[in-house]
Amino acid sequence: MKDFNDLIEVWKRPGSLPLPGAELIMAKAKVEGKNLQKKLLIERLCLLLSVASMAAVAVWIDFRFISSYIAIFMMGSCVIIFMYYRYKQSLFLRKMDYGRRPKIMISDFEKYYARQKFLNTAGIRRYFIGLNLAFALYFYEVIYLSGMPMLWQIITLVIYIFWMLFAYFHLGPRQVKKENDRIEKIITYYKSLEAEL
Amino acid sequence: MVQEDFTEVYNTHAGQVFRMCRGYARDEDEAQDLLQETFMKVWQNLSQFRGDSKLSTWIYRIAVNTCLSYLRSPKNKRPGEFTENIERVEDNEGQEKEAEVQALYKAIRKLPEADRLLITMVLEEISYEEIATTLDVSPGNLRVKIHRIKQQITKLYEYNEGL
Repeated sequence: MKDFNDLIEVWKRPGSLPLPGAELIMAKAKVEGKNLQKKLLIERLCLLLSVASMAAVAVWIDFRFISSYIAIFMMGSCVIIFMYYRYKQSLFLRKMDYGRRPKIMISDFEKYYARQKFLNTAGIRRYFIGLNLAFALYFYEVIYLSGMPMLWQIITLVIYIFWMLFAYFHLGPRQVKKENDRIEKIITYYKSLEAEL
Repeated sequence: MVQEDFTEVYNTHAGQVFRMCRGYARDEDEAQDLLQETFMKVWQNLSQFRGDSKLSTWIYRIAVNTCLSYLRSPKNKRPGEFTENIERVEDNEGQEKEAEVQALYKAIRKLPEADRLLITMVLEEISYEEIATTLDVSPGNLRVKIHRIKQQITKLYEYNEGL
């Protein structure tokens, strides 16, 4: 018959595998830190590149109507604002301090989730409306006034509308559901753990 | 943070953290992954440690949060049940001791997760005050809970040993 103190002795027996050295952990942490920096740099570069490419289109392509320039500006703004908020969200998650009290962890996850939900509902709606208005303006010159045969105009518009609807009603919600499920699972788990304690 | 400081922190707490992770992981390999993950966060965030709590409390919190979020992440879900490492020990005495360790882990895994979390800390002989601070619960409530879990784990262990 063992009492609890015997269990402590059993618990403290060394495992069959040697523990990794501190040097290995430091080396891995440094590599991970560098990789994270690289990822953040790439995300920032993508943001800059979007701005640059929109500016390049506006500068190099000689549009006849001001509406096309407005369209390019609107497209650029939509993409940049949306990417910026996504970037801020991913930064928030990556920089989360795991050393804080469970209650603060829950509140952080909830804050993240609330912003994510806003981004995935109202945010994405505004993004799609803005982007589609921009494309409508852009197509006015590039398709409607370009002298393109009617059949090709219709084909181009059908393909564009189909793709937008597919992205809005299928791809987007699928991705949002995946993200929401994951974060909801973590919050629910932490809450149930807190309740049990 | 200087490497010497980290090495000292690691050498002081790695054993404890590993055993805590072992209480959660399916096998020793996974526990080692969790240990590494925990101390990588310690290395990356030590400059943010403001000394509001004891260093050990801060490290336990990181370990607990790492174990919880790691095991809840779908990408870390692995098929299969918990594995035992008895085959690694060759002599009889070693096998017997390893079987006792496995019986204890098996008993721990039968507990609800909150109890599992508490008992791993109690087995590490972390003070009740520190457990209460780490998990942000009231010490009075904790004592009653721990008393109950101690009885439960002892019974479960005896049952597993008898199998």
